[in-house]
Order: sequence, then structure tokens, then C-alpha cells
Amino acid sequence: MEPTTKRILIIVLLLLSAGCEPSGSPSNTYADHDLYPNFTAVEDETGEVTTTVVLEPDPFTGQMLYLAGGDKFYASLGTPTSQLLSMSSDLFTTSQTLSSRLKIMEWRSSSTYVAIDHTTGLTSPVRSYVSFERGDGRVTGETWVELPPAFTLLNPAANSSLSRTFQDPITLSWTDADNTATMQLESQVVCLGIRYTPITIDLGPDTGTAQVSAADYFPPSAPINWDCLTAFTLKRLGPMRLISQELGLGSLNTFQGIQQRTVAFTTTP
Amino acid sequence: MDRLRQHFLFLLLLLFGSQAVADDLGVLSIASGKASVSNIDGYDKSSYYRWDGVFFFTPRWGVNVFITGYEDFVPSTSPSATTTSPVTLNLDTKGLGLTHRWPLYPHFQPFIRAEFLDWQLEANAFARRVGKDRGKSLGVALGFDLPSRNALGLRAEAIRYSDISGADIDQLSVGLTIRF
Repeated sequence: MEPTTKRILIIVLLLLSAGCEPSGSPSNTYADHDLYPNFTAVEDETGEVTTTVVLEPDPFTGQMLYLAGGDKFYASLGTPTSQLLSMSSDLFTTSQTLSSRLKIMEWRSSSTYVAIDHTTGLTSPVRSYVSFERGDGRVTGETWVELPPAFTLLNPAANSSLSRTFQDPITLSWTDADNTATMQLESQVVCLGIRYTPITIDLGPDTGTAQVSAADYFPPSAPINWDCLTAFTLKRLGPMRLISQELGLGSLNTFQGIQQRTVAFTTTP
Repeated sequence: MDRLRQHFLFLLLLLFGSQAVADDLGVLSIASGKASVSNIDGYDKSSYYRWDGVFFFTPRWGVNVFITGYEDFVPSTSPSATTTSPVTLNLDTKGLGLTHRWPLYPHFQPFIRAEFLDWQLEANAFARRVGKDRGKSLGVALGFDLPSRNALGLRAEAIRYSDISGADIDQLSVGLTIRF
């Protein structure tokens, strides 16, 4: 073999061996920050569940969750994400299940992560799961929140027209009272096309009924003698529970399961 | 005389065609088509290619060896979903077949084939493998070859495989053949 040929071969071998070398040793060390997201799952009257996770700074240290490349949040309904991600056989069926039930949270430029589950037909109560995964494919934490039982808003009826004076209270009633939950009412008023800032009222423990007056749900700046379209969104807040499979990271901060029902009606002077 | 010549030429053509069928020892083919999951709703069709070689140990019976590569099978997301499915299924197969053909005409030869399939399936999601399955399945193919006077030809066939990791897969393909 000619020297020139040998040189070329050696250079090629050196280049190839350099290419085979790891480009960088994988980092197994992460900043030891905790998870501090607000985790909320809301099921509306159509059966759709929206799961939202918002990261917030550590209230004690001001630090954010350390997110490296490849780190992800997952959300799913009804089945723990760890189970969905561990598929063994019958992949055509289980992949479809995974595809329909597991959503990855999109990274955004801000420190907010949102996951949305569109799932219908599940009977309540249902659990919404959230997992956090490090870039090395290791699931480092999983937690869930249980949505409270479904209910139906009885009064006021949809599209009804209520005559009231400013002092007259409106009686709310709904089915399937659950005394372990608390109720919240959000009021949205639109008068002659003007939309006013929503008002949120805490109704306390769920007894199946509540009374609110216009002073509570009507915006002070809205004209009280106009016909106004009012929308009540009644929310049942489930008890806060936390199951977190700790694997070295911290825990989720707040989490809520909410069943909400909305009804729109007209209020007249 | 002209009529006799025509008959002679026609007979020669038939004999030539029949002789070509009887003489070929094998056929190589490359085919492309679409595969669909028939027993589970919600999967898009997948394109595939197939390399196939058949050796005819008698004029009518032959054994096949083949490999098939598929584009990823992707589960459709629910109508309300705004994102595409995070999961893809990658299927690779290889196998053996037993072909029986009927050389009805020199340029039209229907066939039926039984196949024994060795398959590998990987489910990938979120840039990593989340599941793997491997197994063996049976299949049956119906089709026809359109040999030309030279070594080249065309082939069209339909195949049904049963229970590939829970899925029955139907395939339709067309391809080129070369006879030897």
C-alpha cells in the first residue's frame, strides 16, 4: 500500500473514531428545585375536562422549577400516565388509548405550561393525572386530582327571564349535593353589549342551595334598571388531595378538581 | 396462405408465451401500496414497500421470501383535539410464502399465496420508545401477474394479515416484476 493511501486511511479512521466518541457526557444532575405548579382540572357540562398546570416561583426561595431540554409535563384522564407510558403488547390498541388520553404540555416562552384533555363520556368522578418527566425518560413524579361528582343546575333555568328588584335575592339550587365540597359562583353580566368584569362569590359548603342578591352578583357600575344578560357559572370544588410518587423532586403546590355548570338568563328591573 | 400464416403466427405466439411461463424459475418484484388497519378504527393508512422473491419449484408452485417496510401508523386524534397524535407505530416485517399460480394466459397469471409473517412493532412517543412487540402472523394474498414478452412485468395484489399486535392489516399494492 502506498504511503499516501495509508495516510488517507489513517485520517479517515481517526475521523471515524472521533465521530464515535460521545459528544458530551449526559448530565444526571439537575438543580434541586421543587415543583411549584398550580394544577387544576375542570370538567364542564359537556364532559370535557381541561387540565391546566401553571408554574409559579417557589414561594419561599423565589426559584423556578429547573427545566432542562427534554423535560416534559404530561396530563391524562382516568389512567395514570405511568401506566399509559408502559405498553407491553397489543400496541395498536394501547397506542390509540395513549394517543387519546395522554397529552403533552406545550412549552411556552413564559414559565407557563398548559395541558388540555378533551375527553367526553367519562362518568364522574374521574381523576386527572399529571406527571413530570426528566429528559432522560425517567418519570420523576406523578400526581392526580379527583374531580367532584357531577351535578345539574336547577335554578335559575337556562334562558329564563327574572324580574327582580335590587334587593331581591335569587335562589340557586342544584342536584347531588356533596358536603365535602365547596361551591363557588362566577357571575358575568352583559348590558346592551357592554361586558362587565366577572364577579366571583364564595358560597361555602355544598348544601344544594344558595341565595345571592344583586348586590353580590351584579357589577356596581352596571345600570340596575336595564335588561341585562346574566350568566352564572356554578363551580363545585373537590377536596384537595395529593398523591405524589416522590423520586427526589418536590411536590405540587396547589391542585383543584372542579365541576362547573353554566346557565344564562335575563334579568329585568 | 395469409390465413394460414396468421394462424401459424398466433400459435407461435401462444407457444412462446406458454413456454416463457413454463420456463421461468423465479420472479423478483418490488411493490408499493397502502396498508390499513381493518379491525380498529382511527388509524390512518400507511404506505409501504415490499421486496419479494419467488422460486417456482414446479411451473405452478413456488416459495416466496419477502421483506416489507412501512411508514409509521399514526392513530387519529379525537375530532375535538387540536394537536396531532403523539404516538407513532413503526412496523417491519419479513416472511415466507407459498404461491400457487394459474397461467391462464401468457400475459395474465392470477395467483394465491399463503404467508407466514415475522413482524416487529415499535410504539414511539415523545421522542422515545414506549412499547415494543414482536410476533408471528399468517396472511393470505390474492393477485395477478402481467408478464410481458421480455423479462419485465407488472403485479397487483391484495393481502390480509391477522393479529399483528392486535391489528388485522389489509394491503393493496402494485409493483414491477422481473422474471428469470
